[in-house]
Amino acid sequence: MTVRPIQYETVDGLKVVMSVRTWKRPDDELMESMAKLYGSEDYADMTIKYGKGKQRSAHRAIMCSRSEFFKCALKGGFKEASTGEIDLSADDAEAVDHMLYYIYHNKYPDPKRCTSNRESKHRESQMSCGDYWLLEGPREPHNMSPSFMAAAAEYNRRRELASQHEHSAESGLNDEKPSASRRVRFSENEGRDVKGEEHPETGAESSAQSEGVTHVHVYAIAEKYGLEGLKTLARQRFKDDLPILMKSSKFPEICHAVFETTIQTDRGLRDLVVQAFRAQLELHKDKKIRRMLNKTPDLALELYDMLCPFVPLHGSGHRS
Amino acid sequence: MIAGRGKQRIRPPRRGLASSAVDFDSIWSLLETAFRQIHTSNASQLLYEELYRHAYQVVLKKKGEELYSSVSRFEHEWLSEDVRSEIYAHYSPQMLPHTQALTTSTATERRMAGEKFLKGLKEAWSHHQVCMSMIADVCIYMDRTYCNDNRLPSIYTTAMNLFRDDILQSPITTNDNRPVLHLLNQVILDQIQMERDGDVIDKHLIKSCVYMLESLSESGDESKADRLYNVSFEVDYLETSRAFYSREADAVLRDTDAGTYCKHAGRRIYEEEDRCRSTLAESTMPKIQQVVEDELVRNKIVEVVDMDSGVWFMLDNDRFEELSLLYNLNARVDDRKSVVTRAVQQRIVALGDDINKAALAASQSAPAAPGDAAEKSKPSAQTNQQTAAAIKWVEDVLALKDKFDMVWKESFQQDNMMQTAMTRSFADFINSTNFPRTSEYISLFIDENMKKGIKGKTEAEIDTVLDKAIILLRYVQDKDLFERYYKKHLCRRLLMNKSISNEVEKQMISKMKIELGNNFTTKLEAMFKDMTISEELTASFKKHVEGLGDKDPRRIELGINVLTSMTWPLETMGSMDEGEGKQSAVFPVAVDRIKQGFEKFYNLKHSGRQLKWLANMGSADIKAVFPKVAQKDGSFKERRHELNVSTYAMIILILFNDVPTDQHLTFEEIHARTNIPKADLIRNLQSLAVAPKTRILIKEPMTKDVKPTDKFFFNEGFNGKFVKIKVGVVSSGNKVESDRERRETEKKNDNSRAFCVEAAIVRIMKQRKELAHSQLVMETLSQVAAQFKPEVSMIKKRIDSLIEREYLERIEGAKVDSYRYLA
Repeated sequence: MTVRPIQYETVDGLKVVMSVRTWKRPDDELMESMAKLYGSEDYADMTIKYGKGKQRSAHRAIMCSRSEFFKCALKGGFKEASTGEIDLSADDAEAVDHMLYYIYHNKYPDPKRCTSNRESKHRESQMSCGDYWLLEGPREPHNMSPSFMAAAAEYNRRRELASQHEHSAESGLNDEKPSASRRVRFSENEGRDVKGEEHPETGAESSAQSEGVTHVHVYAIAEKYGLEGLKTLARQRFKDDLPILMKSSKFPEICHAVFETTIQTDRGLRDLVVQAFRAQLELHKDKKIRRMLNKTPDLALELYDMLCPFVPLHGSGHRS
Repeated sequence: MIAGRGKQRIRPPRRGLASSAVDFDSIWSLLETAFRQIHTSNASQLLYEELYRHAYQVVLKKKGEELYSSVSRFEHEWLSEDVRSEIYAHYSPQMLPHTQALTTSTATERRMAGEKFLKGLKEAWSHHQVCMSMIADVCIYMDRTYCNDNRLPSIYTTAMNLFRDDILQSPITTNDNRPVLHLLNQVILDQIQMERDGDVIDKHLIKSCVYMLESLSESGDESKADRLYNVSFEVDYLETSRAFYSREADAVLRDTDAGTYCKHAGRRIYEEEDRCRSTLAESTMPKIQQVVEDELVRNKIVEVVDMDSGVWFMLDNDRFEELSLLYNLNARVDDRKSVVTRAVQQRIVALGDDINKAALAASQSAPAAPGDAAEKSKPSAQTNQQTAAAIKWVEDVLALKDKFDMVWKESFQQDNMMQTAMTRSFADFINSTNFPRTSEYISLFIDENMKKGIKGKTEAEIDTVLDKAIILLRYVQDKDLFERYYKKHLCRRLLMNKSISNEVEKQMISKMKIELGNNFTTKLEAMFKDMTISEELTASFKKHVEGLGDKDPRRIELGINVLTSMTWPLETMGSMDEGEGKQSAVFPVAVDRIKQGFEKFYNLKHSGRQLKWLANMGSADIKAVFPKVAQKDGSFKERRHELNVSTYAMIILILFNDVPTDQHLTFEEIHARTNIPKADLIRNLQSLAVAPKTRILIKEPMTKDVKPTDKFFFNEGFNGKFVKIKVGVVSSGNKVESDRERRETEKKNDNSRAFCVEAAIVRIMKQRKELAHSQLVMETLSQVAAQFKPEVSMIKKRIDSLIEREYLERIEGAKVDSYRYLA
């Protein structure tokens, strides 16, 4: 349990001093210590090379238990086992970054922020403690005075605004958490999805557009290395951003990537794309889309199948 | 501008991740080289990531099927070319047994050759497993997607099955048609046979080969039923084992005795269990056990049990350990252990019959030799002999019981069923129809102990004696017969004060009460009660007489026992039943007076009761004065003796008070004046005039027999060593009955049984109103079972008699014979 005094000044110039007690959840403790290991040299016994000359230390115990790929590579017989080096430079560097972050945090970071954070390691480690307790929020809001509630809400709002410009604030997000933390999340989602006072529409859209391909790459790499959870997260992000992506000029590129990087039976992203086409029949007229379809026969075929839903092909996977 | 960017991005972004065309052949040749390196243990420089990426891409580009079949084909070729020749290198014809005529190879050479072959095969297999697990690792993505989606076995499983097809089930060489699997089985079986013969073999090596056979299945699916181990090896194994043990059982039986055979069989069974654990598979254990048990035990147990050195021999020679082994073997194949049980039962009955015969022989040897005359004159010797036979019988039976209890505890693990069977066998010979004296003997045994046996014993010792009697009593079926005998013997003991301790008597009764129930002992207890009441009665009569005032110095003291006629077995006491119509004996005046006095006194107390005097059971103390007559030893003085005689003897002696010294009385005269029944008179005269130590009368002529014409004189010259002399009455003790007596006893017993059965029938019918014949018989049997076991014919007779007397009627037209109760 931690007790921390908070000094805070309201808009009316009222000074509030309060102390917040928080009880740490065991799950959080685990997540925190995992996060501390992320990128750390401590106990590290392997290296992952990726991108253009990047490399990151990692831990066999963690990597191998999360992904069968790493287990097979390191369990003996092959060269990787003796050198402790795995070269992933053939994969998209950004996607590898996301994957490693996920393995240690069980989270899918906001792609853009993560990119900006990549260089400053110390800030990441600060983040895990710095913002953590706050987003945890008071556990039992009904035990607290209304004035405290008001103050806390105000405080949260400000922190949130500040954090958007600084660094990832979402590290503490968790669906089960009541009160403040959830509120923070809702406001953020609303902002990104549609209007949102805090988020200028243009900013949100541009970031979402650039992230679209990343989601696809992360999804692919998760599939390649057998990380089902990461697939779920990537797909959710992709789905959330899809309305914006569809309007974006990069949509053809994204569609192409989806169908190039997934196998036919993996319906996670493919179905979303096909549904998008169904919902947005005007896409049919788009020249860039047509050009893309030309190069992406799988998608073309599936769209065609969509037109004839009542003529069943053999089996559900309808392979050739 | 935006379009331009898009176009640019659509281009394969990096390293062909999105390139739609994949050159399968070039990638496959790359993979194939790598796989070959893996198989030749040369993989340390291979980069897993690279291989994985290639395999992943191939599958991603819908070439999963090609990859799958290429890997399979590659493995097939590898196995059938490289590996098979390697296996052949380890093959040598020496390793097989019975290879035609050239059995020049010694066992050791054969074992070495076999081990070499097994080792080669085992190494090929484990190497194949290691390599395939690496190759399968490379192809995980294919397994996860292509194989999974098409429900194909994983590449690893496929490769394992290829090993089965291309190695195990292929001929060893092109010339030799025998498949490797067949050779493998032969070699393993041969090695096991060597171990059975006492060699040491490499169990670990065989176990590895068994693991291999266990992990492969005939059809390729995962079911356990058709694993190669089960369908191929195990079948052969069980078959050869069966043949081996069948041969061995015969050989061992021929050469050794039953005990050794049991030890051997036990060891073999244990060995096979151990072999399953250490060398083969545990799942074989029940099957091979079945085989060994079949061949060594089930098929041979009867023979072993009945051998000269079988169960009888073991029982007679206290071979507890061997018996225990035999019992365990039998228990393996038969929960009821019926073969051993049967042999034990037969032995018990045989030994029991021996005891019975010995007892009968002992009891009959005496009367058989001398004629009628001798029988009467030497009754006491006979009595002793018969009693001794009875006691010996009881002790022998108890010894037998102790022995078998011991066997049961030591060898049969206190098996319940065995105990029941043994109890049944004991009951069988104890209740054998050839030996009808059980009840009598047991009662005699108790009688003997009550009179003499328990003298000077501690309470605990007495207790064990009594318990022994109870143990035997449990076996006795006809409890009512026992009761009859016991009553008779008890009656004598009580009236003649023969019993050493009343306490012990009561203890016995209470033990019987626990064992046989209240019903059984009520009459016995009533007898004790009569005795106590009589004591009080005697005391109060004495007081009463004293109260009368006239002090008569010659007063006779009367001790009396009033016996309830229904409780006491008076008819067994001798003459009363015969002399129903006769007058009772004439008492001397003095005695008669006091007798009448008591009758008056008793009638005052209990009016309406009839007293019947049983003089034949009484005794009297009389003071006798023998005058100064010259003795044989020359002394010349008056002698006084206190004589304890029977009531009849007292009457006789008092008769002589009035007879002058030189006068005599004939037998006829005595009989006429006393009215004592003749049989009793003869007995009493015998004891007074014939028995050498108590010859108070002189008989003429001096023979042992008493004839009606004999004359009797008072023996003035009688000289006893002691002041007090007890004149025993001949044959008044408890003894074994003669055959005639027993027939009577049984007849009486049957009569009382008839009442019991009738009572039971009426009770049952009263409750049921209507009942089928067979059911009625059954219920009647169970009702009276505690007392005795009636013949069914007897029950039928009773039913008929009840119908005659209109207690029951037959139900007309009923399907089965049925009766109705008539209220």
